Amino acid sequence: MHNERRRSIILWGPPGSGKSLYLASLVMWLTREPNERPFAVLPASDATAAWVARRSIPHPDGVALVGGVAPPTDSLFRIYSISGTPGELGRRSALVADLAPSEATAGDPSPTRLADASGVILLLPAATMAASAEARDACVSWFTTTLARLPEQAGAAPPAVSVPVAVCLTQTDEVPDAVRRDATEWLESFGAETLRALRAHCARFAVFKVSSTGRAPRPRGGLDVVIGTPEPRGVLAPLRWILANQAAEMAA
Amino acid sequence: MRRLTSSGSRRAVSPGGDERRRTILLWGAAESGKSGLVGALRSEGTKTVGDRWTVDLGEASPDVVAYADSASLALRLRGVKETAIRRPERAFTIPVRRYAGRALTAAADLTVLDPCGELAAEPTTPAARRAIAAARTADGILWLLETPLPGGRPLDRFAILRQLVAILDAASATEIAVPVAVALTKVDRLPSADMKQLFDAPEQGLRAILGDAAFGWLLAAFPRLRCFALSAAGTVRNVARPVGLTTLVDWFADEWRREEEAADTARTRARRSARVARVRRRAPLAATLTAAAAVVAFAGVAAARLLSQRSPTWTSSAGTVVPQATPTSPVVRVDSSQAVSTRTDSTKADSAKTDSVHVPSIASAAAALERGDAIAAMRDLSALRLSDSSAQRYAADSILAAAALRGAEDILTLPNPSIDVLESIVAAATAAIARAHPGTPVLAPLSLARAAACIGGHLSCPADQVREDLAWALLLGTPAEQDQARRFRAALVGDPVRVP
Repeated sequence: MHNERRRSIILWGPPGSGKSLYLASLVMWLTREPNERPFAVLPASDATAAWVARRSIPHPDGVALVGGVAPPTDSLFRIYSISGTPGELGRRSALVADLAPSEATAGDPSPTRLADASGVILLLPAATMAASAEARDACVSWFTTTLARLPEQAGAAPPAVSVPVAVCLTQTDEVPDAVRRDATEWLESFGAETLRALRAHCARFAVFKVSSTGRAPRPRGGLDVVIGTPEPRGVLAPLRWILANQAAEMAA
Repeated sequence: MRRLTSSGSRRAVSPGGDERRRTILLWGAAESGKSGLVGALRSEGTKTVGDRWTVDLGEASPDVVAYADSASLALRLRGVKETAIRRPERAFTIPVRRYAGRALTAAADLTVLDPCGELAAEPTTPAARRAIAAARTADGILWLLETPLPGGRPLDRFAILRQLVAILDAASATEIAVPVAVALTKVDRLPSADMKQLFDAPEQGLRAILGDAAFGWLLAAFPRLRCFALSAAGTVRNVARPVGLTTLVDWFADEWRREEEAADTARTRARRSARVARVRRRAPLAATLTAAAAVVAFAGVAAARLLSQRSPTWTSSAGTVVPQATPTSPVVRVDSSQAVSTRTDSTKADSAKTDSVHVPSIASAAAALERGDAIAAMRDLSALRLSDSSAQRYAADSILAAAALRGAEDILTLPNPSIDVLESIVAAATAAIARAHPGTPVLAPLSLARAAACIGGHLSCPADQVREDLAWALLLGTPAEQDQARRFRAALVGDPVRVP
């Protein structure tokens, strides 16, 4: 068992940004990516496992997505790095980080958790923001406010937030030309203040495109159904980026 | 007689019985093949040739015997007659043995935690949590998953996730560090090409069945995972010829052996490093202490011999004869209240006074130890008042360790061992252990001595303390002390199985 203290990655997003779907994709639908180190994500408790599992139900055409399931309090996930062959000590996996969807509904992670975090993932629903100006304004406002709340390194010159911040544009499967789009420009298209705020506050940030199901869900009998088996895209990229930053920090 | 070992599946059992008995925990949902596995182990018991693992029901309760017999019968009558399997309602543990021909080569215990598969169905109930907590102490876990038939009902991934989380939760761990084998069972029901593929590449098969994510859960929770395919029944009609069973259980034995070898290597390295560090740090002091102890011990032995030759020493004066007292040691003060045994016979004491005044000292203790009177040595040592940090205390405790160990052995060989003396040994050793610096070599013989006094069964020592003492002796002791600790540990475990 690992005795060293692990730092958490905080997952944060406005309501409807796709936090639960993102977590469900990490736990239930991860697929191996060629030439990338695989990861596995496990819920830390039965209640959390049940919550994630309830996010989707089997459907004759694939998987039906079920919304409106409240997360359990203090839900936590564990991220393991896994390998195909045993390592030096005959082990094939190692726990690398915790993932905490911090007060997902309130959108206000506790200061202690943030101070201890090794990284923050901020989710923004790209399709929803593109479809509605009201939703876009609300999300941009949430985003800039959230960045301002991140803990700053005492005495540091701006940008003073040293914790790596991964901004994930979710629902990208609903946008036809998502593959061709540059993630940073896409974020900026929702308002120049998004990037300005990022640059002003965060010393280390990156923008990612994420699709939790790989394909946009289709309406079937009153349900949103992902046809076939979900194949998440880009969901591990922000975790890899934060873990790489963490490793570099430790090496330094 | 040779004592059975539980590791080293393909080597003969070694004498000495210094290896611990290992436990495999059998886990699986209803219909996962637990009964088939037990039945196969039972059926293998009828063979007299080949390498095989069998179940030993010699001391099993009737319900467990009935379970194994009915499971074995069900395997043999599969496809011919539906045979009811009489499953026990409670968890049970049975020994399993490995034979090469008629020779017994290894053994382990098999714990069937949930014969009916009820806990797996509801792994979060308080009862399930209590039972699943056994995973914490198991040396290996065998998790059975029923291989889905082509076009049949797939495995319930959520059920597997819940069981995994429950096992980790019950173990209060983020991973299970012991070897875990996940076996796809009932593969004989598959088309022969599929079955062969599963035997050839069980991990790929399991990954294909579960998907990357769920396979990742297993790898994450069980870093030492290995996948197997298993047919408890085999492919021959009307007979149970398990396929993959021996390979499966052998893997646990191989892993344990590798584990022990790695631990031995680590211990040797640690001991060597500790010795080097200790020598570097304390070479001058150690040399002084060793010299001091040697001088004191030599002086004590010499004094004892001298006394035995010259006592009593007489001198004449004016027609009267008076005994002359022997010189007293300058090192110590007597405190009879601290003595190991204060119930000194007054007659003996009086006669001692008339012969010579016995003054306890390190030297007298060394002398007593040399002449084989370990109890007298301890009595002398416990009468001393020395500073805990003094060189004399170090020398005294070193002699105390040897005396306590020999004393315990002497006492325990008597038909009616004295509880008082055993208790005094434990008390003296406990006080010396409390004084010793953590990790110092004197801890090993002191711990060994305390364990020796406790293991006879005449005292009600805490079991944790005895185990800890033996662990210290194994970690810090000399090879001879380690051997003795292993013997004590084997006696403590009380493995009744002996091989001619």
